Amino acid sequence: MSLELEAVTVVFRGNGRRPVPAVVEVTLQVERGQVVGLVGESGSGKSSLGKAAVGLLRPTSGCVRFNGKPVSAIGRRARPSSQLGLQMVLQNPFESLNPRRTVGNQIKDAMRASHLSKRLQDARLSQLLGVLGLAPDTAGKFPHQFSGGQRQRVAVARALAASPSMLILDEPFASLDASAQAQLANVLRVLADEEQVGMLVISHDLAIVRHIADRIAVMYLGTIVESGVASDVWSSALHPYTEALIGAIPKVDGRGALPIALPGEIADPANPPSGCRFHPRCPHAFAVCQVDSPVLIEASPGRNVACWLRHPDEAVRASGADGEADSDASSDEMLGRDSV
Amino acid sequence: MEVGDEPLLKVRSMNVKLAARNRLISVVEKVDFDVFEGKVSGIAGESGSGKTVSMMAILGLLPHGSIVSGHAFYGGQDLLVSSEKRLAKVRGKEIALIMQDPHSSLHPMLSVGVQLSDHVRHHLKLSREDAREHSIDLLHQVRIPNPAASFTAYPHQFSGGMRQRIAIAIALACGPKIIIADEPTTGLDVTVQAGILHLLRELGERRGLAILLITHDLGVMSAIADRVTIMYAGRVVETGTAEDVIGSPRHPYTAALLAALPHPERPETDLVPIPGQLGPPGLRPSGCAFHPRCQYAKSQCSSVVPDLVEVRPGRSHACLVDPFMATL
Repeated sequence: MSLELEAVTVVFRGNGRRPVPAVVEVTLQVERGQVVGLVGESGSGKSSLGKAAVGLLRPTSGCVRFNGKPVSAIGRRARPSSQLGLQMVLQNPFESLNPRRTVGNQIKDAMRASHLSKRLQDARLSQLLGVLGLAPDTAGKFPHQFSGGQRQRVAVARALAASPSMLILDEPFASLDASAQAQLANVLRVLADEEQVGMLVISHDLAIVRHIADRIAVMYLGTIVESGVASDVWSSALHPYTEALIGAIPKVDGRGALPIALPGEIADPANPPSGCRFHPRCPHAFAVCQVDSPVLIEASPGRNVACWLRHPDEAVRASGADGEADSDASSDEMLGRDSV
Repeated sequence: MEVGDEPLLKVRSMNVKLAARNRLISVVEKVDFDVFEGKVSGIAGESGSGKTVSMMAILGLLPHGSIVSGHAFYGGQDLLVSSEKRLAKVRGKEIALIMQDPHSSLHPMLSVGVQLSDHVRHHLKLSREDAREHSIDLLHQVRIPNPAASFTAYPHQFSGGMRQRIAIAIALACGPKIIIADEPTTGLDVTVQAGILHLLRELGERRGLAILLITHDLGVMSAIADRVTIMYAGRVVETGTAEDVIGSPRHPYTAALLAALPHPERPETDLVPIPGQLGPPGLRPSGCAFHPRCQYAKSQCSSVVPDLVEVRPGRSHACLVDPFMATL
């Protein structure tokens, strides 16, 4: 009972344009009851990967399997019922809800699709609203009558109505204020723990993902650069990009510590840098990084990283250490551990 | 703390009522705050707390039919009673504004250069050539790569972070004394946000600009603000230095907001949501507006509106119960 992505590549092609490889050979697995956080800046290909995982996009190569069966791209025909357990919450609840229908009816759509008998639907609806902390009279209202946070919870309720065993959530926390964000994060964690729902949570916010995810995968320009158990990735990042993402999160202590800025911007995926895709922005980049792209290696059991600095061959790492005399010290500095 | 310093902008007991259908709704009540030279002063609160409306009232940007009372002293005048003609001279020139979404605050059909130089030519009466030179210098100051080429480029050719830098360049164009930044980093990646925060802090420290930072994000507030004012339901509930307010909050609302946030340095702590929600203006609870959501509320909280009490110079809070008094 799991979702498996194997060497999934998504390439967008347009008339007369250079093909845009948004996702490049990504392999990822989500077990039942497990929360996997997929993080990275906008433009890293997270949403494309999420859409490929539910079949909203057809992978150019590679395959997606849900409970061992291949996930077919959504077309005109109804999805096979074996895929009903795989559901998605889209990024923008302002666009993904129908403005002209009550939210109750929209949530019941998913129940009808999963052949829940009519007499059970009302009970299930009020149960779902309760789980997500929405008032019982929510069902009769229209999307415009809700705040962004409430709409997001309605969208989650709709996805849950089909009783999924696997949920893909694209930026579920993006439009929420602190309190609503905390509430949704707690609800998701409970669903994973008590109902064994597996989740792929796509977010640019590593701080909140750290709170609910069992595992974290960090994506940069279409590829996974690091993955591992959430607390390990957080406390000892192996990839410089992960370090930069963590260092850029402001600390909420009122002491005025500036977060660490990462220079440059994510490159155009149609024209990625040579070698390691991160090298133009990497503070530790050395000669090899500009030429060869590092492969994802298993640094320790369950912990993967694609960085020349973590290459098993000492000679490769040493060639980098020449240029970067003291890479440990500078990585501490990047994390801002000792900055005032 | 700079208690003795005279603030550049001093807002006192400001009330704002907005017209809705055929009644007036009070959205800002008795708000006080100060903005100091060379400092970043922050106003934080959830959406609907009145922080943006307060800023618009100061700049005279509220829709017709709105009723504003109180004072906003700036350079010997009260902005809240100034004529539109006088305000027009202050707005954009002495007090500049950076909006949340540079995608919609920049004109998509005009080049960056035109948007920058029009503004300078209008307020500073520079010639076309001088304005161009000045504009390129501004783009350089906000670290836009290749400023001369960017001068002729259009907003869509830049990323979100770069567009926000252009918006900051436009705000800086006329040498303002105060910059109001309304959610300047919301919607940006944290990596890009960090760069913008560095730039804002530098503007405060190196150029002595006064920055009024409006945001719901206490992390952003914590990174660059010197002083913080927390608003809830149109009222100030707590104010003080960033270290005091965020480090040791005195009002239950501030404490609840902090408990809901993930703390990067303490990843194991639970996220605690605030029960209930802030109702719309016009349907606010009686007494202290936070009382239905407050775990420390007592019976008096539902009937008495707490006033802002100064516990020491520059540090105030508005809570009848004051549950954290003993811990401080």
